[in-house]
Amino acid sequence: MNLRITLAALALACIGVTGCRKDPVDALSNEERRIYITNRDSTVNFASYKTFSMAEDVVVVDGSNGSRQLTTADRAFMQAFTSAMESRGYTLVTKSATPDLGVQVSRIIRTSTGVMSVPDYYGYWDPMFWGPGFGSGFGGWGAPTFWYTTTYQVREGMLAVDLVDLKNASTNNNLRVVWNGLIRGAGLNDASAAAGQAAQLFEQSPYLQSN
Amino acid sequence: MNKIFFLSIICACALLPAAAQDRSTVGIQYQYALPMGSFKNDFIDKGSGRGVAVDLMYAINPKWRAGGGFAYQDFYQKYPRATYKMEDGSDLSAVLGNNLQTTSLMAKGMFLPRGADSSRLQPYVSAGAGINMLQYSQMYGEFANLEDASFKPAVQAGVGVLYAVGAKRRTALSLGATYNYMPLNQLGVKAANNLAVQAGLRFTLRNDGGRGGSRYDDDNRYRRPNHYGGRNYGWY
Repeated sequence: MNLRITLAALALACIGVTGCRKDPVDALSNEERRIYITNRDSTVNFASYKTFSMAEDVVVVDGSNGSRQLTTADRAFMQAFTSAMESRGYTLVTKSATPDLGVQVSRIIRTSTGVMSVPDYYGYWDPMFWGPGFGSGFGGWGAPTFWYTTTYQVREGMLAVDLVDLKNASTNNNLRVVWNGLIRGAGLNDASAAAGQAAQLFEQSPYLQSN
Repeated sequence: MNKIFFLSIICACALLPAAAQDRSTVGIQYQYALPMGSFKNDFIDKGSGRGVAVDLMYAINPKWRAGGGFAYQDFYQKYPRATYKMEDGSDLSAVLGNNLQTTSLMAKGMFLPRGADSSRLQPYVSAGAGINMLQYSQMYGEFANLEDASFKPAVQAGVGVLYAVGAKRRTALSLGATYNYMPLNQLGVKAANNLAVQAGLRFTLRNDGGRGGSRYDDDNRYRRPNHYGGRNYGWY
């Protein structure tokens, strides 16, 4: 086989095959992309609580700013958490009926900012290269002022649900969070997926039982 | 990075002396690799069909060949959603995705026990040693738990058969298997060892200098064993 044809074929074949790398994120569905994290106060006996009440809206925390909202997806998540609590034997009551637990849903938007520095590599250039006397006549290079640093931003949304101990608030003299569930990933504004996401948080928290 | 790596090697092949080209073969093989040992038990147990191996071998004599080659394999496996206990006491539920790519560059030797005869079917054994770039990551859902790369030594041994096709026998079908020993020592995996089953083609290079035919043809070429080149009997 002619050398040039062989090498060209090899180059194309290798590039083609290495381009076939399986992307670990593209290989996942929205449901598979999500992660669920739960944590609890290990000193608490969750069977000691019998009733709960839902907050009326969802807290949105965007950086250092807080606000409240109630979208269609928010309603779906609140309903899903209500159903999940009831499935574990807790009874939904109004806030005025002195519930044992308060359930607060929050949306957290975290903005990560990265800064990429560009070093002053212009100082390593030869000022004489572009013409005799040019660089030295002007005292060397004038490094550009437009590109010392560049920034990028990534915004990520999370959905959190907290169980607050209202029953012992007076004794503790504070509102203590006794359980937290956090969902990260795709589909957090999808109302149709709310029930499944709430169910997953409770599935990995078998200790959430009122009896 | 892999593409630059591959292209560099291929360009280096193009610089072979013209005299060496008539005694050289290029093999390109698709490979399906099966993880072995701790790689299979602790990281990925699923075989990978995303691999290629390419080599350039020079015939020292009818039975022995020496040269070099590179190979690429992409391993990936996702595990069903499961709950993991984290160091801070929290419980994390995720679909776990493990992936690892190996890109190796090796010096190779090949022995053909029947190399001096004119049989179309030639069994071979091969061995190689070199450097291996391992790129690996572990994902919880879409979030990377760990992502890194390292260079480690690697060795391999293989067996297979070549079957020459065509009247001039300058091309051969190739079928074989290669065991790759690839130390890693990351993510609890001692080595990314794997068994690669390979199928492909091996071509005899021809230096026609743009004029057709070899500049090194001579009157004795038909009297030599098939492994000494010539139009009628090629290296394969």
